[in-house]
Amino acid sequence: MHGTDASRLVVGVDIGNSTTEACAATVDARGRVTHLGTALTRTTGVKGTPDNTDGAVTAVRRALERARRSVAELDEVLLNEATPVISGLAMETITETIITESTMIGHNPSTPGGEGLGVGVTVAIEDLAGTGPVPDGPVIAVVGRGWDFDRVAAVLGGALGRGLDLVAAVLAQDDAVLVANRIPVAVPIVDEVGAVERVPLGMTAAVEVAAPGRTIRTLADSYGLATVFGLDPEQTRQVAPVARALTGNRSAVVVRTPAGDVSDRRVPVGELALTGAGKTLRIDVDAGADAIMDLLARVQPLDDATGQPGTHVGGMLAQVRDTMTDVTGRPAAEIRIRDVLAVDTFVPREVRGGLAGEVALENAVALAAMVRTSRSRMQVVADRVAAALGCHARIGGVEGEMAVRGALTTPGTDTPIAVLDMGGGSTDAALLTRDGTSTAVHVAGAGELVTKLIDSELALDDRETAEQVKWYPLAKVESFFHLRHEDGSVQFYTEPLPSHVFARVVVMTPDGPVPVPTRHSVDHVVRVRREAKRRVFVVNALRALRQVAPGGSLRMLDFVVLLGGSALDFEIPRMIADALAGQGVVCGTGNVHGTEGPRNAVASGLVDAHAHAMVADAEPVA
Amino acid sequence: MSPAASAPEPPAVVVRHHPDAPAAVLREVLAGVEEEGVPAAAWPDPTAVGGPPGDAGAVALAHRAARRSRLDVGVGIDAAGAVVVHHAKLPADRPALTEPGPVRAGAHPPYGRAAGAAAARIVTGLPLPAVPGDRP
Repeated sequence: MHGTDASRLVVGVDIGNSTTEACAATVDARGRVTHLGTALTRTTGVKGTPDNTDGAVTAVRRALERARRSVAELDEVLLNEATPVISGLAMETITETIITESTMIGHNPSTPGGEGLGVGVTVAIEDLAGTGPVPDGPVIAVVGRGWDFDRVAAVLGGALGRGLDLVAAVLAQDDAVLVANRIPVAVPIVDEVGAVERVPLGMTAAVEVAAPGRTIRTLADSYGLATVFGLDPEQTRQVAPVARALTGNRSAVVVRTPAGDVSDRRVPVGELALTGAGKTLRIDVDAGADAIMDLLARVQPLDDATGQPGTHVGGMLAQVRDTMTDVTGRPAAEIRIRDVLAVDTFVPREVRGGLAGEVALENAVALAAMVRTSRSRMQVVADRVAAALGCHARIGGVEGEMAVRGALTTPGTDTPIAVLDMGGGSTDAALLTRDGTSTAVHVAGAGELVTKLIDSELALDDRETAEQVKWYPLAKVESFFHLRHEDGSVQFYTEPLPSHVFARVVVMTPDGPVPVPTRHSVDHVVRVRREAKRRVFVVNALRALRQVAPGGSLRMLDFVVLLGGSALDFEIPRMIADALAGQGVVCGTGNVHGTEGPRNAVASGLVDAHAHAMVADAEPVA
Repeated sequence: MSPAASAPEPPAVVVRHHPDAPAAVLREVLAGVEEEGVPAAAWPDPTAVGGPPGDAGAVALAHRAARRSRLDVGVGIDAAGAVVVHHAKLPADRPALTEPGPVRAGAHPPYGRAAGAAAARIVTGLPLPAVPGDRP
């Protein structure tokens, strides 16, 4: 120990799943703590592994810089005993829509031509060119790629002159309005059919285009299809999925082929086996998230979860185990999954067998799994940090307890206090009772899962954009000079907005509006974002708090403090407060030391605990 | 011949082109506007010939066209076939969109079509199509 009269310079370091936070402070001989500065940086490597050293050292240096102290003055670095919790994610679709024999086209082109319903036989436009006789009966012209709109109109016009009964047309290119404006008859025309060469020729088909602002009525109705094609009850039953698939479209084509069909297939995902409380229960994953979570509640505390080998769920959990093996260096057989969160979701997928890139919303289940490793390798991190900085480094305390200690510095709080730390991989809850005992739990699923749900439900296929949609409010650019925020308020710009955001749904990032690649409205994207947050954070907040609450009753909690990066989210704290409102709980975002917000609770808790211990150690001597 | 500023014109996207602008490009621009269901009016711009240097450029043509359009949206096509889409309220030197020239022969959609569609969509308030080679 240094001289007892001089105060000691210490830095508390909290290594989290995604960020590493540091808090520099001096502690005088009487245990009084003076906070000097804080810092935040990205965690390097997976939490609890030696790779964390770089991030920890960076955080310490930055905190000291803010405090205007040099590394040489540093007495001790205090590290958290990282909760040995690692989480993994997987998602599988459980339904699949397949179109066989090119039965239908339902892709909703932005500009179909004409309107109404046309029923006839499909004929290639090549067979209508020239001066020869035209087919008898109603005809639907099928136009391939490379046909110029003027030529299409000329050929159709010529054929009409020779007595052709043209009732509709299907085009490969985006020319429907152009062709409709150039032929002497008004017929429905569907365009942008990418795989038009696969439209069966010589078959009876129906083309329907609704007036602007309307959706098709005949082809989206089972009996409408039965009427058009003269189907018997059995056949009508078979085409019902076609009608359902076309509901809500402005245009559609249905071709009557001998064995054509649209099927909704349920994909067998496999069985999940949950072991705990002395029993093992099994459930089919396609039973849905609610059923899985109900089952999970019956086997608490969970000892392990396994998936049936050779099935999707088997693969999902094997993937999680493999990641854990890499992290912990322990064989996969020894990895135990201690919690899972199942979430029902839907994924827009291109329909197999579709002719125009049709997309169907398929049901899917997302699983977050959490593994508890025997012991983290934090001692290695502590040794390396000490070597890099030339000072002492030690593991100061258990994360949950430190978080509570830090949270208690929030003005207006008192014991019993529960903290809810919503991070990237797991949601953690800890409780400190009036008599000073504390308990902590960790449940699977947090920010990463929310990002994944947003990414897949909006078919963004871009984690970065999904992350932005999660973090920032949305707006719609309405002109080059103004946009409308998701709450309806309008903002004007004196500098024109760039054309790549014109008329688009945008995320209001600090760097300006960033377009979201979607055809959906702002309202839809907002709904997806809020639902993703609700299904993960609200569900997990309640789940975790029930586990720490005395007697499992939320009413026994007095103060709930939200910590972690997600506590800074613009709507999550309100969503959780709303969910807890009925329980008479005071819930709010942490404000560590009245200045730090929900950040730095663990790092400051480490310093405070250290000061406490110092005084306790010193007292017997004095 | 140039429509006098006096007579009220029907609302339309105005396309002003250099008298020597390639006819195929003009046709595709007009087709692009039409496919989106928006009226278009086109005429050669006599001032594009022998005007002050730079004045005959597609950007200037487009801005003049936009200011003539009752829909505030104009397209300019220069002698080389470069297509520019402009809005009357935008600064004259900062067009909404530029389609600098054919990326490759026989590309689909044909060169000029996307710019025409973009002009129409500025009117209808729909997201603009991606134009190959447009500068951000």
